[in-house]
Amino acid sequence: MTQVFKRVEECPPVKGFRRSIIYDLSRKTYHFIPHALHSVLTEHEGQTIEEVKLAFDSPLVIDEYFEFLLENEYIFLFSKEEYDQFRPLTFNWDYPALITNAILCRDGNSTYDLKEVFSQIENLGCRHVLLFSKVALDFSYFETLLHDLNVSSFQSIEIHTCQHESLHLRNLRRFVDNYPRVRAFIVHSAAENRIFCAKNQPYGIIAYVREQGDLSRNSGTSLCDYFNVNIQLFSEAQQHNVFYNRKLIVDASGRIRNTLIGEEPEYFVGLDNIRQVVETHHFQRLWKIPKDSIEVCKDCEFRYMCTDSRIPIQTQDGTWHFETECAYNPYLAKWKGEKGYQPLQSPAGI
Amino acid sequence: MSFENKIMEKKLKRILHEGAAALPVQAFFWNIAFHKELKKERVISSAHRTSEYTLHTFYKPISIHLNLKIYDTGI
Repeated sequence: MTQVFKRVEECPPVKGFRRSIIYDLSRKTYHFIPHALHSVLTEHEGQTIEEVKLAFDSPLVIDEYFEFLLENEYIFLFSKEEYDQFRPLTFNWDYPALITNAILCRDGNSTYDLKEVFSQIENLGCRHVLLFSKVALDFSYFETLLHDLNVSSFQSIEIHTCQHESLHLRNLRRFVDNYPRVRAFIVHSAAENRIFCAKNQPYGIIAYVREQGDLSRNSGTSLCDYFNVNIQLFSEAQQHNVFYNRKLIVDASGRIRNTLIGEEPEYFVGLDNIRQVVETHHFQRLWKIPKDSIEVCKDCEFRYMCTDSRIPIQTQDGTWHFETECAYNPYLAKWKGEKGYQPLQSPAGI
Repeated sequence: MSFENKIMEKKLKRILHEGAAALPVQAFFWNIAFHKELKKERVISSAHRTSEYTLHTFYKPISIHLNLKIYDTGI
């Protein structure tokens, strides 16, 4: 019986400028592939291997391609009748909440009511929070806070705070064990760099790092450290900026913001009604700027797995770009520091 | 298990084992006998995913100011 090939819908191929990638969304990984294989997957799906070979000059290479695809279970071979029963998977994204994640900042001068903010963002459907403190806070502060959140619907909470003598490992181990929704407890300005995992669960990370906490700067490392391959992120990235979409930031002075840096509009003040601010068009202005709309990023094969906190800027002709350059040059397929890398602004960079 | 079912098992292995929790529509079932196996595997797969990942982790980083991967793990 003649068999045609069917691509697994959860493994979409994505074309970059110089190479392509198969996103393996269910296994949360990816493989680089040549453009020719991208073309096989997108233009010849539903054909037999022999038919595909006829369309290309080198049948041996096609055999290698199919060996690779079958081995990794990116495709399956079906009869034509079976093939016709598949329906394409659409990557439309939505989330049943106005806000999906929030960053709440505190410093020595913060006076806003943290409990009230937690209550409001919980009502907005937010389930994932990063609490960032620029000042040292006593361990009991966090215990009280998490105790109060015990009956809340938050699913994960990351805490980033400055070193305090009460934040020693024994306390923090007990803390992340007792409060499973604490996904990470990061202590900045520590004496040494050390990372520990919680005893009883795979997701409670305790880390002491020497550097001072500063949310407004990127970590200075390659963005590839923040690549995530999963169906939610892939779907969201089709139409949205995955870093800013449905994110809420409350800065240390209690102002609501939609970015970590930059000037915030004057009406982003007060925490009386967060919903009212979040629903404004201006607050949401960065939400629907996907990497497909941003110069350079739109040619990058990593564009649906990359979380990037740079703020897109719109030029007068309506196009979007970033002011700072990424550590990856998609036109050369090279990372900064890699042999042959050239910055985009150099003549050989594009 | 018949030969056809073995083939079907291979074809659907990926859907059952890897993507069941997140996958909305792609699974389809021709064979009732195999369907029972499918349900069993799906339950196992979902339970595994839920306990370790789905409930307690967000699918993307909230902030990227600090890269923990550059530090050595203590234990």
